[in-house]
Amino acid sequence: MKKEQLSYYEKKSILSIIVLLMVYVSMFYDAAKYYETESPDQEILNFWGNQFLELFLCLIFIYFVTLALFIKINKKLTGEDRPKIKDERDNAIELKAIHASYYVLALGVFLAMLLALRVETFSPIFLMIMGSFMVSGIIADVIRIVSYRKSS
Amino acid sequence: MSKRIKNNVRALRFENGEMTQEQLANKTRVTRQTIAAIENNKYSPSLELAFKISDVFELPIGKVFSYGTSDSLEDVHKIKGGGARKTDI
Repeated sequence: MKKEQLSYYEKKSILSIIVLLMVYVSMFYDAAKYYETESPDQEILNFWGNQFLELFLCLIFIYFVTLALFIKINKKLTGEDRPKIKDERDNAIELKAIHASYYVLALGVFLAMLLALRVETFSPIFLMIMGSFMVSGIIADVIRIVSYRKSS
Repeated sequence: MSKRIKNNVRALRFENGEMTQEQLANKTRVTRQTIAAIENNKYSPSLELAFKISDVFELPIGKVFSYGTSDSLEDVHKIKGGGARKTDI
């Protein structure tokens, strides 16, 4: 049976994975540099607080900019508009993706708490939480892509 | 063998003036991709959407969707033409 071409939501999810990877890899790079240094606890907490704030602001900003560009480029290349409606199938897939990402995030936080029992510094714990944010976001997008593919 | 919800949507579209997936999607307020997924038996619609699709074809829901086996187009012709079937309630 002939498969449908990539839908708007599939393309959007692929873009989202790329954005997530780019932003998180740059954040991890920053964090890794700091990870090696031995600083007082307060300084480490400030650093991580700053990292998370920066991460969310960067994600929101880059996501909106790339989404706007994607809509324009996609329209130009394929003539496909942004879907006007989100129907029950879209909602079911969205629910499945959020469900999976929630479990990954919860598992990440749980592992970070386990790590807190083992290590004496904050950095590995925050790194684990940041990693679980990234993996949960990617898992959600992968589930969206797979679900749309499977039902096309 | 596992049973699943099957349908005659594709055949019925052609029977109804070669209606396109897009037209059916607009009438039922879903995306064209959802209609394609339903036709390929890759997505089972909600009861509400199944009723909406049946309404478009002016057929009882049981004649558009079936559980386990799919009605043949011949059967649908009979129903549309008023012919009775064993399974008619």
